Amino acid sequence: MKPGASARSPYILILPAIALCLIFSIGPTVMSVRDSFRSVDYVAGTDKFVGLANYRSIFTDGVFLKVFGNSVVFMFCSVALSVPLGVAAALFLNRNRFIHNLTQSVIFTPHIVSFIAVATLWMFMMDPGYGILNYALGLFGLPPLRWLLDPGTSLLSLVIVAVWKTTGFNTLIVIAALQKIPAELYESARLDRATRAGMFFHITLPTISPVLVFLVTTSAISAFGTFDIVKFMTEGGPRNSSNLMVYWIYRTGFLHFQIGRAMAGAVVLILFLSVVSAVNFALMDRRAHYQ
Amino acid sequence: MISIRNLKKTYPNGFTVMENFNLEIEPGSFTVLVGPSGCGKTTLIRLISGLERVTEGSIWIAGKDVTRHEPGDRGVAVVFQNYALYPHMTVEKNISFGLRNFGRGKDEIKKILAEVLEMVGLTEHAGKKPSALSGGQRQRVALARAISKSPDVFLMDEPLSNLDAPLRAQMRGELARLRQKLGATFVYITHDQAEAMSLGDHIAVMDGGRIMQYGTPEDIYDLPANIFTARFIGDPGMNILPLKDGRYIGFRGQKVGIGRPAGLDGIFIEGAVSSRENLGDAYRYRITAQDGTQFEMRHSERVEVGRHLDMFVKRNDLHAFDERGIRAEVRTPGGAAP
Repeated sequence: MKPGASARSPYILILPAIALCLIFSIGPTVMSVRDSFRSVDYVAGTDKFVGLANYRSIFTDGVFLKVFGNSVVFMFCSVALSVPLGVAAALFLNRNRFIHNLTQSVIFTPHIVSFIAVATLWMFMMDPGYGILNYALGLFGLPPLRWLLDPGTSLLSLVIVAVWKTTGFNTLIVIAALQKIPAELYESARLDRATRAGMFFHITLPTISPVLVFLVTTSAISAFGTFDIVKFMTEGGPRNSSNLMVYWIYRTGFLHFQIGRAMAGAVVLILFLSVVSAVNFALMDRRAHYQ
Repeated sequence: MISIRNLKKTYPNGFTVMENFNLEIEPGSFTVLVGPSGCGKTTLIRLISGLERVTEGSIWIAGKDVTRHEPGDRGVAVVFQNYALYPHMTVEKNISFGLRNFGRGKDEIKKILAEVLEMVGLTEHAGKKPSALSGGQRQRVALARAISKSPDVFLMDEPLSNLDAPLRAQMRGELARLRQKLGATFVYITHDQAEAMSLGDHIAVMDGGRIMQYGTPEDIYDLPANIFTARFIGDPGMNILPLKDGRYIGFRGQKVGIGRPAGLDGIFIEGAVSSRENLGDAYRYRITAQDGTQFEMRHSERVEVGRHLDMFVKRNDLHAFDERGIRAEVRTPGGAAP
């Protein structure tokens, strides 16, 4: 140890980061958990312990269960579409070096442009009257849809927007992973008479599997935490058909001032996401190859 | 076994590595390709294996024109410098992956696996992944993978250069032993002259996409066909001194004697020692001759830097090269300093 340093100095050095973490992350989480067991009324100024009443309330109220179900469906669909699409686009772009560079920046754009602008455009495109999506359906002789306005298609419409927004990011990450695969592996495979499919399943996929675990986990978490699309495009409607967890927490807590119920929902959200990541890592870790 | 006819290779960027390239490699021979970086030796191996497409000309292996064949259909196995093992597969899988694609049956694969793993001494490591193995073990897996396909031709691109010196010497011995056992044809690239001399029964010295000399190690060392080969082969390469008539004379540093023996059939040189290196069993000297030309001498005797010396080279140890750098007969040298 250098002179002047003491056993305490490392802790002093990480103190700022720890402080921020405590104030903005750990503290609020602890308070959420605490509030989920209490009934807080800001108007009357009362605050009392109610045990599991908030949890009982949200689980017997049909809306919360519906929203929870919506979130699971939304998460599953957007991950199941955006990750394979990202892999497919990456494989295509990685092979075609000519259009590669331009397309790479283009495909990443949805991830960085202001979401409000993008959502506005999507709302135009999904407009039942003059939207281009219905025009496209018409070209194939299909009946028009009411997209965001129909309880049957509103969640699907949000999935489309979410997939469009995240696929580019996934593509870029997968391209980076593909480019790290040494060319000799494919040359060995050619000498081993491997087919194209054989190379994909026996070399490409196992090699990029750690990246896929990362993408599936992070996109599942961010899909389950989706707020902006819901708030801006549907406000959860019609009839909660496109309502998702975080938007439900926001409304319950900040519009209806049912802090206890909102926090109970938040705790359910945290528990669910912990389970999802744990299961995901456990399942994929066995198959993924880390070097 | 391998016949390369009028080969031309131009890369997509327009660079032509080799043109009108011809080479015949006999069955069962061990040919070592040596040459400076960029001389085309790696390209040659990649063309033979089919990993690169031929621009013009043809490649024949075992009497068949394989110019348009896929790498897997040529009867060749390649061992790469960095092993190119499949990192996520066990040793066993690394070997059986290809065998399965080659349509071998389950029992047959098991038999081959046991055989080749035994041969390279990795039987107890069969279930490990490459990351759990040392460099030498990985290269043995790569060897076992190549052997398992019983190819007509083994192509090896500096297979030992990632290993440290003692291991390299050991693997060199193992390769020689394997070669005796397998009786296949080997084409082998190396930067290591000791490896080239000890493994090869033929050496092809390459430069600028051409073969400068193709012959036995003895021929290449003792009778270099041109100045390039003379300078490239040997450690150090041959001293080449220009003569007044535009021709050249060459001699190896080991063949320089100190003194002025009477009645010598050869040349005398006077010069000063400009540097000295201790090699353990001998010293390596840099000598500046009276006319300013420099050359190297190896001698067991210790001489101080700066000292003037009388030196000589016997006539039998001299090599002559004509104006174009091609080997010529040594004529009466006249006993004068060059």
